[in-house]
Amino acid sequence: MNGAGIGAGIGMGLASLGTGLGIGLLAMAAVQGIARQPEAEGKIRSMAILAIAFIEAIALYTFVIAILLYLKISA
Amino acid sequence: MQDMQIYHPPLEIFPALGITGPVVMMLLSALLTFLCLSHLARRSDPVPQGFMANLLDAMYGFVRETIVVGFGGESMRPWTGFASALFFFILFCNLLGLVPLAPIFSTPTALPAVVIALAAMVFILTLWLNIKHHGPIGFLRKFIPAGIPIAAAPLMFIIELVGFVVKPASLAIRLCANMNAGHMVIAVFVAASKGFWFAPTSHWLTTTLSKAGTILPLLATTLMTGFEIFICFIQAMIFTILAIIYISDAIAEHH
Repeated sequence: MNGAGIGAGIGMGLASLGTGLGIGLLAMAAVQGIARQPEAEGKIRSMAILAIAFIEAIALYTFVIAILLYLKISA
Repeated sequence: MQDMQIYHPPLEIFPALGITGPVVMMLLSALLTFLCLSHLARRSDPVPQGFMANLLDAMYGFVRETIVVGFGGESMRPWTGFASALFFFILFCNLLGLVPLAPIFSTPTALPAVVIALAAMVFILTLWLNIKHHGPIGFLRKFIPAGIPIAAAPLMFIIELVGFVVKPASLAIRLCANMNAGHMVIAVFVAASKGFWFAPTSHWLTTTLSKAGTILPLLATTLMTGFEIFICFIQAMIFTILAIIYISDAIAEHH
């Protein structure tokens, strides 16, 4: 019963950790890219937004699993 | 937890035909999409006049130049109509859910059925285009990359086949989970402000602090709603970009 809740919480936390690291690395690279080549800012921005959507989608898959586990507890 | 109302049961409008609140929202966004695109198509003046016309023109230009030509290549230009219909429909579906009258205005794209239907449309389209442009045998040959050893071919075939099916599925999960997650975050902040306001305090000082503290979750709700509007645009953009990439992959010669 409670195992599913703990699993959902730990899984969501790990997913947030990974996503935070991923978006942090992406932001670092994007800022460095813009600092080195300011004229490429528009292109870098659109690519960065696209990449953020891909990275956060991985956390959202975990979120879906966590919700499924939560519904399993409350059911 | 009792204060958090995340899931509103869909409003029953005409149950005999299965018409619920989200269906009406979808019809409304389809109507808005039709009005926007027919306005763009019928406009005789090449220079847009007024704020809304300029906004629409800029968004259509973004879909055509950045999404279709930028990600699919120059040969994908005839697909601009499909891409802009997809973009505007998903955008209106996403934005209608942010109108804060919960059972009346709902987000159709937060329902799995709606996004699975949209992704299935893209999936069937890529399947049909693959078979149309390469034939059934050529379509199956695309699953085996050129230049790999013959022993690894069955394994690669299975991996590529799974990838072909999972790509549209991830398209659906991404949109649906993004919409639901944003609504849940807003629901948590609203529940927190309720908790602050109705906190069972006895001393006048703690009561005052608790009532004054209500402003913090409300501010967070406002910020989050602004972020949600941004997410609505981004997710409509991502869905369209990926659909265009899959379609251009289906048309392109394999290498």
